[in-house]
Amino acid sequence: MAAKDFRNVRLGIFVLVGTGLLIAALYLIGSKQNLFGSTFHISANFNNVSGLMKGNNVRFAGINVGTVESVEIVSDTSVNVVMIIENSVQKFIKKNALASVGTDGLMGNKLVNINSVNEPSESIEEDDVLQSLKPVEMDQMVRTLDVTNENIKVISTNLRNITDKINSKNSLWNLLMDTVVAENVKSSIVNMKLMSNEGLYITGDLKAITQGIKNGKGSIGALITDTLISSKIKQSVITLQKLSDTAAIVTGDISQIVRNLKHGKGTMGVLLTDTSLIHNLNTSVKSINKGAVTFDEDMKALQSSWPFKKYFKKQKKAKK
Amino acid sequence: MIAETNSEPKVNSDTENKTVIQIRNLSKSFGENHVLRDFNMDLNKGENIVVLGKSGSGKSVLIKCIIGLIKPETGTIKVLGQNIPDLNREDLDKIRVKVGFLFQSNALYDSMTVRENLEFPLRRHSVQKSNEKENDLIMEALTNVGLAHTIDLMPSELSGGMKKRIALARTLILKPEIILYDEPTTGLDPITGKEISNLMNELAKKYNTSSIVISHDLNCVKRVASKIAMLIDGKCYAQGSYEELEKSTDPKIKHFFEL
Amino acid sequence: MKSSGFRKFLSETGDIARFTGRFFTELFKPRFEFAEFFRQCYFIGYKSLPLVAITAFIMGLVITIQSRPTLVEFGAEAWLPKMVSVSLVREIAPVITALICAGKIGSGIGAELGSMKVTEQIDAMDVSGTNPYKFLVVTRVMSTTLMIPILAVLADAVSLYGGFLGTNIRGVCSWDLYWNQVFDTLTYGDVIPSIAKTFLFGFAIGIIGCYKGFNSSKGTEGVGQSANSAVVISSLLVFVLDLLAVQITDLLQLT
Repeated sequence: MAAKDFRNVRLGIFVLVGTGLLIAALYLIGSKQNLFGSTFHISANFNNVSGLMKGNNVRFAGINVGTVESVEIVSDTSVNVVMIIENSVQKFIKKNALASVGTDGLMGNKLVNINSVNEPSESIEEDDVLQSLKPVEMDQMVRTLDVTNENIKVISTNLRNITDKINSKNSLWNLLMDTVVAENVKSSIVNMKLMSNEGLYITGDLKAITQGIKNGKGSIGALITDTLISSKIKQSVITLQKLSDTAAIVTGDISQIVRNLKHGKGTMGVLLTDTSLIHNLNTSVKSINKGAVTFDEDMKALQSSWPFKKYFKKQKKAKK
Repeated sequence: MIAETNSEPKVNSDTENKTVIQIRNLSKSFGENHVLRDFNMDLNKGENIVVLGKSGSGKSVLIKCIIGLIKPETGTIKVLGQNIPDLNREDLDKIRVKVGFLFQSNALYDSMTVRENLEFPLRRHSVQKSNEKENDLIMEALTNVGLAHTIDLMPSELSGGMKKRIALARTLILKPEIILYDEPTTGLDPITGKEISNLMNELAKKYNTSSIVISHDLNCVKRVASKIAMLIDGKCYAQGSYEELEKSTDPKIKHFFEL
Repeated sequence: MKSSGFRKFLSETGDIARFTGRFFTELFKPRFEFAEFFRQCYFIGYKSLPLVAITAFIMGLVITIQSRPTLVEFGAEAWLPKMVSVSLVREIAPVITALICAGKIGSGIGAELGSMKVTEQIDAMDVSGTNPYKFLVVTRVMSTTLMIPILAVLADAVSLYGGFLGTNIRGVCSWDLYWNQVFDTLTYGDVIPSIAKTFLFGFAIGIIGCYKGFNSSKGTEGVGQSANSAVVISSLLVFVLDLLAVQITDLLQLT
């Protein structure tokens, strides 16, 4: 009899544990689906619920707060989704919150996201209807991404054009100018003008001389013995050297100015409007260029003409 | 007294006791094998009839028909006045309280102790009894068969003879008026067989039971039988006392008594 | 030969159907054998628990270990508890429980009733004023029908625990997270049909075991045969019923 009792006790434990586990499991599943505990209902209308089903989760601020109770078609463009929400979050969900259909992960279940809006409003109540957002769908997302890519492409092309322009166009420098520099530039440009004029003048002289030589004006012997001429030539070469030195200084100034400009020193204003100055600057630089080129040519010619050969050789030697 | 409607002449002719079992025109066949054909037999109160027959001659079928385990095709079996094949389950159970059955293989419930084996028919037969009374009955039945000490053993722990005695105790516990023995000494050694036979006689006297014994063990038959019925070819071929039949010249009967 | 075999199959099916029908008529007749029912519950339910628990535990562990590589391929290792819990609860735990019980209980009932039949114990019961069908068959079928679902629930629990250990062999998943994920994934549609079908499994195991034992032929060979065929038929029936149950739940969209 005792054995039988013992047996019954064990059977009782077995049955109770088994059914207890089942009930516990069913309760846990139920509580995950909000079948128990105090809840309230809200709803939202969507155009498209992308496969949302009864039992899907409802999330507020990313936390599971309820489940979808029913999904019903109301009209051709509207689907009504009724949600069961835990009472404990009622005070946090405001009337102006937005509901949207989303996906849990990339391939997971559909769910309803309730998102707060940054405006004050009252807490939601039983049977309230939330505003809804269009659900984000994968293809739509991909489509949007495509458009975005296209836009980015266009933007980057434009950007490249702009940078190109910045690199090439002087006018943009204007934005980076200041008055002091402008003054400097002005004066230096004036100097340069003067100098280049002088250079031109000298070059003109030289030209005349060489032309004379080329044309055989005066005898060669006279030329050789005529120390006056040679000294004159010497002088002119020295002058030329000086001139080119000055030119170098000017060029140094200009590069200084340009450096300043690059660094954006000084105020802009003045030069911004002063297009004529820039024009002057342009033309003067061009003149310098031109002058320098002509000078170069002249010098070469001078070198090759025989009376100066010796002199240049000497000079070379002396340099060495 | 009960079977008056029956026109058979030999019934009630010479007995002072009433008939407890009356079998008329009993037929039963299994497929092509006609085991019983128009079998007729009577058991009177206080008689111990031994049904003698070859193995497979339908002796077991006969007593299983009597207890209602096998339904015959035709014929009537009146036990204590009621026709067994016509009875429903409830009435059959009522009759079965008064008819004990000792199985050839004892049929002790393997999964139960000796006590539970004996309790089983007591509890089952809606015989409402107190626990104490029940216990007394069990002890009485066990003492009758001389095995009171085995009460908490399992049947598998008992020897063949002990099992037979326990089975007998279980049959007797309801104090039946009629006991049907299915080969009670088969499979036992001669000494144990003798003990069982003696026990059967003893108990029959003590409880004033009538019985039908199926056997082909002549030792047992000799000890137990007050009358012998020969079951040959599905019929009650002959009836008589041991001495009468032993002297018979009929070769079919003689065959049985030649050792 | 073939037709006679087929005929035999049909007649046996008919017999089993009749035997089952008898179960329902006897079930509602008065005098329910409570003591015997509880005794059987003890043997069928409680005594099978260790075997069922060990198998279920191993299955949970193995399924988890085996599923991992595939999920890792998808980079979805975190889904392991979800996947494992669904496959265990829906299919593996109930079917494994039923098969183990078909082996242990089906053969046990077949052999027990077979030997009772052979040694005339069934007749003895009949004679002792007990309807053997009620006493032996109804109690056993009822206890298999009721105990196997409980065993299946316990097998679910144990196999999920095996799954928890399996998840943590190569990965890390805390106890709380694991169970949270499991119950997040499971729905009534997973649990209820899977438990409901175990009632059918239990019923089938009980009825086949009893049928085979009750109709055992004479002799020890007959007992062995009835035990053997009880296992074979009830195991097969478990799968057939499983197929049916899954199809029905699928059809009713309960999943």
